[in-house]
Amino acid sequence: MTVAYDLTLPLDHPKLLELTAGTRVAITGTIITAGAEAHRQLDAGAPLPEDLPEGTILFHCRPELKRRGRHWDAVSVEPEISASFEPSLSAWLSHRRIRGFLGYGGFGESAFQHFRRFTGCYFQTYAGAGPALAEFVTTAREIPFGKGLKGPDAMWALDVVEFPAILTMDFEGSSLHRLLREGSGRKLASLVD
Amino acid sequence: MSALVQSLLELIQRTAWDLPSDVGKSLDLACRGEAEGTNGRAALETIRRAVECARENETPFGGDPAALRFTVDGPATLDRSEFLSAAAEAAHQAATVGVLRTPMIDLPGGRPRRGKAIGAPPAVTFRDASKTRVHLRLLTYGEVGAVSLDVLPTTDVPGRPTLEGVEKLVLTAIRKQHGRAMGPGVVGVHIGADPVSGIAAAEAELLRPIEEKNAKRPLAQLEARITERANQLGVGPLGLGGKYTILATHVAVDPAPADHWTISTVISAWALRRQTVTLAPDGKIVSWDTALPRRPKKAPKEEAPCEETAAEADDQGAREAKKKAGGATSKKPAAAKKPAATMKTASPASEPQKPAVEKQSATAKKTASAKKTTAAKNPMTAKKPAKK
Repeated sequence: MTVAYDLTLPLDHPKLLELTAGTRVAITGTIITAGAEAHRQLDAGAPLPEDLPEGTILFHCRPELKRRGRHWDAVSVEPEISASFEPSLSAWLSHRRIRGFLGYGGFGESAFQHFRRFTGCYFQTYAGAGPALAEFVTTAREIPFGKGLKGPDAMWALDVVEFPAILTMDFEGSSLHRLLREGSGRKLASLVD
Repeated sequence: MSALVQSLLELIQRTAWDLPSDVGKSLDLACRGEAEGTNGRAALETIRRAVECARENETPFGGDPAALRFTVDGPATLDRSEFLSAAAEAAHQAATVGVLRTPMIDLPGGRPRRGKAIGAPPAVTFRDASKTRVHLRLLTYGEVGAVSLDVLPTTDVPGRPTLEGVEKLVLTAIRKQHGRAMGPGVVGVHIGADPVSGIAAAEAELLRPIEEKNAKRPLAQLEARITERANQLGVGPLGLGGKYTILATHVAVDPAPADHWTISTVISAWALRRQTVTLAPDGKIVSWDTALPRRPKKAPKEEAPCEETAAEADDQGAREAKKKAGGATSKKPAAAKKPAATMKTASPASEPQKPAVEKQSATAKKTASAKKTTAAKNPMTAKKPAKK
């Protein structure tokens, strides 16, 4: 395996300044998950729990879990496509305990203004690799949120150790998505003309 | 549950967690091809690990499949309506045990349906083949198995339509998907007159074994050129940058008027989930065969090459595979009820398919000319992918 920046939560302002788009990170600490249903309820005004972990990351994911005694083990944690959750971005960030997002595909450029205002950033992890990513989750517990959210739709706190991801949108406005898209556009122009 | 439904369910389950060996092998090669320490390499290493984990635990990788697409090569006597209802029943069963994405949402932005889990109605394409047995292929699409489609007229490139023009259009389509296609996957291309059946024919190219060279020389060259150039775009694995944007390109062609060509492109994700089984007349699975046969041969009287591959595959490996697949039902406790995060537009898969069916079998006969499939090694006997 290749070397990555050891990102131990909480994610705070100095760490955000240190990280630039394109850096591979290994996240250790407690992150929380929310899928489409949780986002729908959040958008409809469901209040976020007060006691979320400090400086945590929101993982766009509906984890597949298995109960083991009083604990939950992760079977598969598949990142979802983040773009569909973009409208809820400021609702999460204004909670102030959430400093980053984790998912697939990144947000649009307008996300940067929220990142600057609230101090935030975006990490991408490996799409389709859910069963492998589950190996970095030590345990999971449910966080009470919303109404009638069950199983993967509920909000979960995942304890992760060296969870692999790549910082693709940093606090200062650089985007790996933008950089590579521009690069492939230039290359295409040179190939087809 | 009838034997046919049972077989289809087994096929759906297995397809969700078992990546075909040719795809696995290509991903291994791509992984070694990416420089140590790059994001592309890290992505592919994790992907390879995910494929292993999925096989060990029989857990779907790439998210739960959202849409199913069956391709059936069978004798003309095959009862199609019986097959269609069995496929729908198998999809419901798969949704119930949590292999398929559930629940369905009737409209984008709508509320999930409550109550019984219902799987998306599978799409089925029937192709006539003079065989006594039924060969059944399944492609599944999930969040990551998503395919990107593109149909472009050659008039988009100035001048008379040429293969260079085709190459440009396909490269443009690949670049447009930057990262969204969750590559590196396979690019299926169809060159012909009709865009609607073109997309189906392009998709059928995804069923070809990755390493199989096109029998038509100019097309083989075109395939190699598109793959090489697409991999210069720098999109890389999962759009993170790198040398491997795609694994392979497969092109099919049908005659068209000189100035009226349509290029249809289907781009698969790295999770190219497809499996083939041979069914006995009673609906039971005779053998698993991930080394996919070519499309049906031109001469209808000849035995299709898949008969042979199937016979070869029906060895100890296949039996072992069956045993494994049988135990897949009880997996996935927490995720038994997964609401669909995405919307689906699945049609009830019967009548509207027909014109495309006919067109496609014609295509199939034309393209699969001579040359036999080099029966790739039975993937089931090679349990562990070549690693490290």
